[in-house]
Amino acid sequence: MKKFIIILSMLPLFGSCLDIKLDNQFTTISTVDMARELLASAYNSLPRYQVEFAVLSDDFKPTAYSSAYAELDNLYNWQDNAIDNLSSQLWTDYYMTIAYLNTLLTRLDEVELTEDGDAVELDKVRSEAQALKAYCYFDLLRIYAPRYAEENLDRDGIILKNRLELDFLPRSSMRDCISEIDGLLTAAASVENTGTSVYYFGSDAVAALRAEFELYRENYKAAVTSGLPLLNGAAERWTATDYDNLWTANESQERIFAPYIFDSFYIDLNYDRERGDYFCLSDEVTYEEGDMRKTWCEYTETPMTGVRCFGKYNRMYYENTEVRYINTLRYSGVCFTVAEAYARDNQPDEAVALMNEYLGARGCTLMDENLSGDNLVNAILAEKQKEFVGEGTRYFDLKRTGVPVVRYNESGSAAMTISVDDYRHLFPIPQSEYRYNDNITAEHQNPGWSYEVAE
Amino acid sequence: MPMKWCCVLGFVFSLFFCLNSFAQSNNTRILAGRVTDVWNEPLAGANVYVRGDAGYGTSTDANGYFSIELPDRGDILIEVSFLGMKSKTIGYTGQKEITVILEEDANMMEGAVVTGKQNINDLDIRSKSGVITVVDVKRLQDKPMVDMSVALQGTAPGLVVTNRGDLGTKPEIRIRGNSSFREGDAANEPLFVLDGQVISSDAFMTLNPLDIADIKVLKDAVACALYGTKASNGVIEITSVRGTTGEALVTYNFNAGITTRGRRGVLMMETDEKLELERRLRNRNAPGYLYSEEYIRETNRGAENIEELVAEGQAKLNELRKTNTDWFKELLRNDFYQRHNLSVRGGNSKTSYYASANYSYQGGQIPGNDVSRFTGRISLDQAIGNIGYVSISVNGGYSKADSPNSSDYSPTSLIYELNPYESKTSGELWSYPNRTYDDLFYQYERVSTEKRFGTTASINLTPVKGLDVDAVVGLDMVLSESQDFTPSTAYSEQQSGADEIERGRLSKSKNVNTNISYNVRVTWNRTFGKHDVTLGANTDYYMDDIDNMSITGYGVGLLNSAAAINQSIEGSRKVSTSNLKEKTAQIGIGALAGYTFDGTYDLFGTYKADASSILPKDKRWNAAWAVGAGWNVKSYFKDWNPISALRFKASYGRTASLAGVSPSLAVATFQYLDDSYGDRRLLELMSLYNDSLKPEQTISTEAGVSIGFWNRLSVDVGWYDRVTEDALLDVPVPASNGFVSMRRNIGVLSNSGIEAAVSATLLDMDETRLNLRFSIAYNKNKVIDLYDGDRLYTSEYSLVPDFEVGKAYDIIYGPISNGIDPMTGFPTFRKADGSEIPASGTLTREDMVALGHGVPPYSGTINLSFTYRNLEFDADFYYVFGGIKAYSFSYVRDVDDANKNAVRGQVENMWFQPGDQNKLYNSPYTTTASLENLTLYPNSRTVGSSDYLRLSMLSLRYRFSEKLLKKAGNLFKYGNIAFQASNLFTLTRYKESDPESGSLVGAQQPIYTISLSLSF
Repeated sequence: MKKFIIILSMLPLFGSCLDIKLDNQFTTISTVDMARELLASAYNSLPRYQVEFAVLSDDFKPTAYSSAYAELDNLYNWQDNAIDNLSSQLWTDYYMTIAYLNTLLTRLDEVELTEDGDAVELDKVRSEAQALKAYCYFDLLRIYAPRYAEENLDRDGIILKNRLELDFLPRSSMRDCISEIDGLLTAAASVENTGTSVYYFGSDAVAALRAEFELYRENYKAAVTSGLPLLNGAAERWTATDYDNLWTANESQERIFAPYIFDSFYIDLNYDRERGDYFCLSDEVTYEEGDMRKTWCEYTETPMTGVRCFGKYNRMYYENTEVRYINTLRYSGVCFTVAEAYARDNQPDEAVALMNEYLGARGCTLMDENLSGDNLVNAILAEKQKEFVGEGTRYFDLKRTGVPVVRYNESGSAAMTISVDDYRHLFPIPQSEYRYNDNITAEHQNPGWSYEVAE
Repeated sequence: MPMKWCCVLGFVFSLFFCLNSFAQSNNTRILAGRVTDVWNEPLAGANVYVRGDAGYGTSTDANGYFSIELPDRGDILIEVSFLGMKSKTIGYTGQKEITVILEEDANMMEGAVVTGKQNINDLDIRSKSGVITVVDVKRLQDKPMVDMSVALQGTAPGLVVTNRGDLGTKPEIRIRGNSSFREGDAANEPLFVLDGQVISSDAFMTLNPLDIADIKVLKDAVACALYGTKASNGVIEITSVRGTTGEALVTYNFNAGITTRGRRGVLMMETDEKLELERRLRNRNAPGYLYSEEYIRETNRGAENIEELVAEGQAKLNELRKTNTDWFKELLRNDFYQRHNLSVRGGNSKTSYYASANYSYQGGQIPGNDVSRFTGRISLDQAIGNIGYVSISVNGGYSKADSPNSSDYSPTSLIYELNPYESKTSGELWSYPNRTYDDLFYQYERVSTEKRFGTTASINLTPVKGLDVDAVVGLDMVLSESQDFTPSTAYSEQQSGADEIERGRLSKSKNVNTNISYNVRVTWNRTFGKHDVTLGANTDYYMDDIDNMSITGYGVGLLNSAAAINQSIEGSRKVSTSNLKEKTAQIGIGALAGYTFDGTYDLFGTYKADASSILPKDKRWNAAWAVGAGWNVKSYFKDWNPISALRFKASYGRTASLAGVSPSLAVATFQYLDDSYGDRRLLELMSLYNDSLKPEQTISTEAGVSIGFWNRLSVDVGWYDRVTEDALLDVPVPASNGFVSMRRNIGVLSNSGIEAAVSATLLDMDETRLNLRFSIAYNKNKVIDLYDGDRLYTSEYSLVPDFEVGKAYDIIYGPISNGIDPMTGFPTFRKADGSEIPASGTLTREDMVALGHGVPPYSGTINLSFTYRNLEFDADFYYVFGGIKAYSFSYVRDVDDANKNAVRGQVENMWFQPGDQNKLYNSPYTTTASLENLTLYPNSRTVGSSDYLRLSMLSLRYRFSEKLLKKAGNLFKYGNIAFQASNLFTLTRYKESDPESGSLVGAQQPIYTISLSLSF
């Protein structure tokens, strides 16, 4: 009897023994490896809207099948509801990546350093997380905020979020957003992170992003300073093999940052392997014979006749080649950034020299050495479109440089033009934000877009 | 109403007189009867013998019946005894039949045989103020249904069981509605306790009904609070059959019969109408138009042989007219049902045992859908000297369910798609171009098995008079496995675009759910004069462990085996594995006090504190407490017979609940995914955690009265109100948080209602008895408060708030339909201001009206029992009403799907041309956008009442008389033969297949069986 009472009185003590440890669930990021693995989730979650942005830009024109994919067709025609849908998807996706990064960044101090290389590796993880966050903010800013101009700096930018926990935050001004990105890039660059895999955001990627960011905020000298060092020995990178390898699972020296994927990518452009694509190359994007970009940008082995089908990832899909790398930052991109910065900074000779180095490597006719001013800038941008066609880059350049976007119909005639000041150049703040966030009121919705809260 | 009752009574009396005159002719001295406990539950294995004459004795059968031959002398005293019950002696006065009710004897100590009690929370004092409904297990056993939980439907008012799909699918089980804003079983399912051991609802599904002695449904706070925070959704307490004293009794029970197709949901077209519809829909993919004269003339304009071509078309149509397949009959089948049960029970004054083995099989409506089950159980009770008992029981089971229906492919739906002019052998199908009938079958196969093992050990000690020390410890494990197989020849695989060697999908999962629990209880009871005091304390522990592992791979070809997965495949068809491991534990300590004065006033209070591993340390302890009072008014007029019982009860209690909450919702939790990035694994944050997450608080108030009249009529009425505070829900959060939803405490909701049961013994004669029981339960839910404003939208696009203060949360909203516009053929709707808008117009919140309740608020049963000598007749009806369900209208065809069969009458009811008035179906020439409002929301014309009345059980049994058994050479002690059937018919106004599951597939099927039970 006594024993019973003793046992009975001891039982409640077990209440404190309820800290159940599960071997597959963790509440802390305790090792550097775990930090790296959480960062891997952030990398893996990077939004992939290359097809959508390419369709929105002037890279493509419709084919006979365009109307079969209403959502993409509507997007091509910049229809409100299609942009609205895309907006809510990518807003959520970008902020998901940011949530991962915030989770990681706020927990890095808890990580225990046990081995020699741990501190260095941890710094790299931190640097990459900061750079990736800057990358996401930069994309979001270019999508949701007006184009960069001194008078726009006090207008609404994006929501800046610094922790994982639930927040109901207002939009920060463009000025604050730019300064936040600047700060993140500076912090990221303070760590030496070279020689890592191309699917991690190393020092070169940080510098490349910095160059693009400086060009965006019209800080041309800084763009050159950041970008130029990356182009040392560029000719060795711009070989035919490295170019070809961009569209394979092989290594290519042309890549700076290319997220790694296991699943399918860029399959939305294709209607049916037996029939063809929803969209094909625009008539404005043409390649001369001998241009090595021609073989990869124009794909001829498709069932479609009379149209120039898009190659690259789309060709890989036709040929059933697995995509392993999404070429996101490339050395040739840095070349364009630096060349444009030179050109805009009244250093046309440097710009042309740089461009001709690139064009020569690609096997194209060189630029007229007397080009300058707007003509030079336009020539650089035209080559840039040829290099990056279908990869979504063009959309951001169109918005940044203020070029009207012409929309064609199936027969090839221009159906409408999206003017430079069209409200659709700013994506709408998604409904989930203004319905559930009291700090996003009607005045914070981008102009021209609806703001309906059913109450 | 009174008129009806008079008719029923009149009929019953005339029936009685006619039967009674027939009964008088019997003169042998044989006494038949039945032994039950106070709950009217049969006591199987009770000893019945003539005092002082050991040669004349028998024991009751599985249903409590006995028949005894009496010696030819006067002054016969019949002794009835049963393990743990007070024995009774009855003087024989020439009656033909007796019913003996034995009362439990808790204080039988010396030498008496009492089986151990494993459900140690089942205290006498609890039932005096708590609301506990006892399920009539005998009726449950009479229902030929393989699925225990579906069979539970209609067995207790307020316990609502809803079938959700084809055979083998777990039904929805709720006690008094959803206590949470969250839907789904995890948050709303009651707690299942078998012999004091917590078991999962999956384990409950696989129990053998014949092993169950007793099921109690605990509904209010007083009854549930003993179980603490686990029990906020109510408790279903199951007690298994145990041994008995006396000679070993071997019983073999056999049940076999047929399962049938059941109710035809929607009547589809026959060939002539279908061809006419096709002609009018003008789709050349359908033969009715392709071969029509008008099409041929149009496409061959000017052709010389036009008349020939027309005649050819007519010939083809005539050929088609020769076939008229009824796909309902063709695809659904009659199958069979069988159950074998063998049990042995016996024992002596010190030891008793029970062992059973059971095999059941039920075939579903569609070929490939069936459930089979094997269970076994052994239990042993042993007295320890004079102070108590030890009980051990072991049970196990294996069950297997097959289904050809997957989430995206259901052959059952083919009934509504294949054309009447097509047959199994007609080659390529019009309804499925490029495919034959054989290409539609063998597309998918799912086998799920459940292997269950459970063991319980308990000890019941009474070291000194008035003090009970009880302990129970148990383990329950369910290993659920499932294998989903899509062969490479399946149409979906052929069309997937994957290489030939990558075709064929196989997914296999194994899930082990382990429950370990113990409960130790000390109860002290003492009577001082008129005061009766009970004090008690307990501590319990409960651990739940879920370990899941699954693999999905491709390239298996035609092999239904995980070993056949092609592991070299990369990309989207790469083999993937997933793991889930979750373990939670809870420890509790409780105290209770009860007081009864003069057998008239009862007071009861209980408090339990539980610590759960789900929440972080600082929030770990949560409480459940309840107080109850009972007033037995009858004790004032003990001798006044018209009122045979009168008792009032009331209770109030509060229970914290963590149902459906996992630790990752309260603290940042990371787990590895089966994916990788580069050379790294992915460590993922499981959800946007809520560091201020609190348990839900359930506050129950209850009042009830039971009245009995002349021991013939009893009425129980109860009112309850259950408020859930801090109710949890996954609510949307601004997407700038990265996550789109987060589980938060968002408001207060209530479920309130009334439950009533009337039970009447309409006839109680020597050989004839007629009982009628009627029950009804009404449940009303309401949002009382939302912490963040008055409305909550669970989607950023929803027009009507999903939750609104002051409104019920199961309301289906939609616009009012103005019918089909005779000019355009498009549906039109009425706006709030009375104006009309087309289906493509923009609807606003104001235009949406409440169409009705999605969950029927009323449910109940009608049970009828009639006994005449050795014949017994039982019938159970189950009904629900007050709810609506939306129709899918998927069987109404427009131009695009004209090649699939359509609902009968569509030609008549569809708008085809301007001027067609009062049509039911809109123009077939439409686009998705022009019908947006029709497809997005249900409307006043696309919902129907889901009321139904079902004859859920019918049993006609004949018990072999003593004489007959003697003739058979005394080989058998008892025996009976019965016709038993379940789900015989369902009456409903709902126009689509099944008002219960709301789907065209998966209605409960009728089963007709013959049952034979023999005891040796």
